[in-house]
Amino acid sequence: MKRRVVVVGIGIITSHGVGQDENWQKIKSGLSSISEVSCFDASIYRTRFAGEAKCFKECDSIRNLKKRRLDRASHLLIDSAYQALSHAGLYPDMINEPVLVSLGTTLGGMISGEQFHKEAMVKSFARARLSLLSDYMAHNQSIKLLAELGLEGNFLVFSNACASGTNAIGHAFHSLRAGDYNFAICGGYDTLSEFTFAGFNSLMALSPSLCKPFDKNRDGLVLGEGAGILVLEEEGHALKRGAEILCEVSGYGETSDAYHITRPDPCGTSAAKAITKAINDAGNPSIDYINAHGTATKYNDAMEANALTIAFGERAGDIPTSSIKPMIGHLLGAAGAVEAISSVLAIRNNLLLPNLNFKSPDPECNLNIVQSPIAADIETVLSNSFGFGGANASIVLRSYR
Amino acid sequence: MSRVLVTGVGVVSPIASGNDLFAKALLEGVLPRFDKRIESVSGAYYAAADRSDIHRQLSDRSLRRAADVSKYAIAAVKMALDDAGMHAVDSDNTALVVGVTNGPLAYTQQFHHSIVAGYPADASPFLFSDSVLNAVASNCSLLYKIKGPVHTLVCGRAASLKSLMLAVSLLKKGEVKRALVVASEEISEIAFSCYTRMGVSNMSEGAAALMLTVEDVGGLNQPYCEILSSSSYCMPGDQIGALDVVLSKCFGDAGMTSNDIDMVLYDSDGVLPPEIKGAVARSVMERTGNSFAVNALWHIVASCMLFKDVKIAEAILGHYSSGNLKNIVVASSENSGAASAAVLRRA
Repeated sequence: MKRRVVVVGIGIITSHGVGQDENWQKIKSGLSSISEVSCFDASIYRTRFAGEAKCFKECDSIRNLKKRRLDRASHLLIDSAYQALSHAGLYPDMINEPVLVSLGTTLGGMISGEQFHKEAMVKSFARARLSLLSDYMAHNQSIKLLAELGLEGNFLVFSNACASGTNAIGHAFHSLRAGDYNFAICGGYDTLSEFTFAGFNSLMALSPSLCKPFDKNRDGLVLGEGAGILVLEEEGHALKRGAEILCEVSGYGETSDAYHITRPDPCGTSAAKAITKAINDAGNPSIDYINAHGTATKYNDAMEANALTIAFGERAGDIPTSSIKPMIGHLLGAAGAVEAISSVLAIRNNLLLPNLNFKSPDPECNLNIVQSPIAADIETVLSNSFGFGGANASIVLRSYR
Repeated sequence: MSRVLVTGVGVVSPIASGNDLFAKALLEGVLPRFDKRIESVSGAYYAAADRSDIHRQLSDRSLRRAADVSKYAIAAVKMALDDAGMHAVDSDNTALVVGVTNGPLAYTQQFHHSIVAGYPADASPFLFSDSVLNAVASNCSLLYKIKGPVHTLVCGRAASLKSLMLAVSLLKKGEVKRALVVASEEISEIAFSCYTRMGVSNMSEGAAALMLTVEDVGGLNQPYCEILSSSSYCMPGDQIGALDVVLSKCFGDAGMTSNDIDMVLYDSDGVLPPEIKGAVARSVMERTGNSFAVNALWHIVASCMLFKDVKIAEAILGHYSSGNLKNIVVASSENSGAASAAVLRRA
């Protein structure tokens, strides 16, 4: 019999706000927190708008590390982790056994890296402050998290583009199910950096207007920043200590397109396999809601619709589906984690989440798009993430019984 | 449960690229030439990857835009596939796990330069898409049509051993029948400058690849060795403590003690816990230079060659009189407190 893995704590920071209450209030109200970028001059790019987490300056809970030496990425990560651990009843009385830290990020401490490089271009590499790089490398944030929390264990940092967060959660789920650990701190984080903004701009992937997933007139994505952390625990272990169980992680699947360095395979065949693997892994439940990757690029949304049609057949057009990216932006390495958390909240509150800015259905994306928040009986959710380079990852979450 | 075997290897290094040439270089005691410099970094030199034999693996036009770090990986993967006797990859049943420390930093630097210099609109999208951390994995999976799980792990020096662990886990779960484990690094101005200032020396670049296969797949070339066990741990700030934990776990899982180990190949800044007694401990980094995540895979490739030809052990160690080279530990650790290890047993 497979061990069951449950979600016992969540922590989240997005442009909606800090913490699950603030985020949930805005998600269920169908509000957008996309605003003009303030952390760099975006006037020269296709758009000036993004889901910048303006409400978040730094993590006030940090005790054991030097705050000013940390990149914004670490602040986002550590704050979300403290939220999740508190929610799980594991802070301040910390876990006293080895944990698995499984995280996804595309950029690591890129803001520090940008600062260093700018300084190097003015002063020279020999004179730019090395201290700016103390939190640049993408694995540093995990080590700093363990150090701050006073924990030991293994850590893995997945950098599979936009699928990173879901990969990290999926790996943590499988590890706990296999009995490797009783606890995992998993999820993803990424900051809003000019490097990434310019990068997606160069690919013509940014929308000059609004993020409109699955809409016939969609014209690109809107970037965002944030972090999403889930504390996973083996079911028996959680019950024994009287933890509140939020929901269960029941299935995970992953594949790769091997098609193009940035564009997805339009057929959606490999993505459909990831979806099917996740559902089979979960014991073939009926899916009540699909939290789509839905970036609002022409390519992704068409591919995702094809993938869902392959995986579900005619039912694909019936299952309520939405993307929350119009509300908070595409959080890259954090996207899968934040979307998993929104799926947990959807299950807990029996509410289908809205897909904003959807006005004209695309006949090539024949899906049942949820346009406004709707009360519904939600037992099981499928959450998809598809990344550059063809990374496909799907996770199934369900109400705990 | 079926054993996980190393059935093919590939290597791009400063002393040689290509398995036979690498083995020959180890045997002949060839040392890397630290003769490459970057103008903005005075007084420091690195050892460049030997590109003399890798061009035939890089004939695909699409690779022209790829960064060196991707090219090295692609060449190493081709060598590993050839070594394993595989002319084509079973797409859906093959995983690819790539470990990197720095990734395509040269392209990152170039792309960012155009932003800082004030002409971001002119920045090439190719520089961006090939500068992301998973560009190496993406290029390999594209070229070799790998459609199973494809991952990039960014975990410092231990990235390649963690990649090995993830690959073994995927194989043992039955997700796939084969897995490629790859590590690759390139020298860039920004990385070379910073590491030099931090006191890191003898830097080099290159790549290595392993083909792992579960035993029951059948039709295998003579495997090099079995991956008996592997472990990874982090005790922030306690390098020795973390090494102790991983070695204990590895020995425990392999059903052995430290007395059963014939050799330790390590990348640990000379740090080893005292419990490794009686085992001969070396690093091949004096032959290959320091290429961060690649070091551990170079150690595994060297181990595979040692298992085949004990004279290589003599060449590396100076003297090795026993032909009973059976169990090798490959270990990696950093002063951040992260450590990883794997136990290999001759097949």
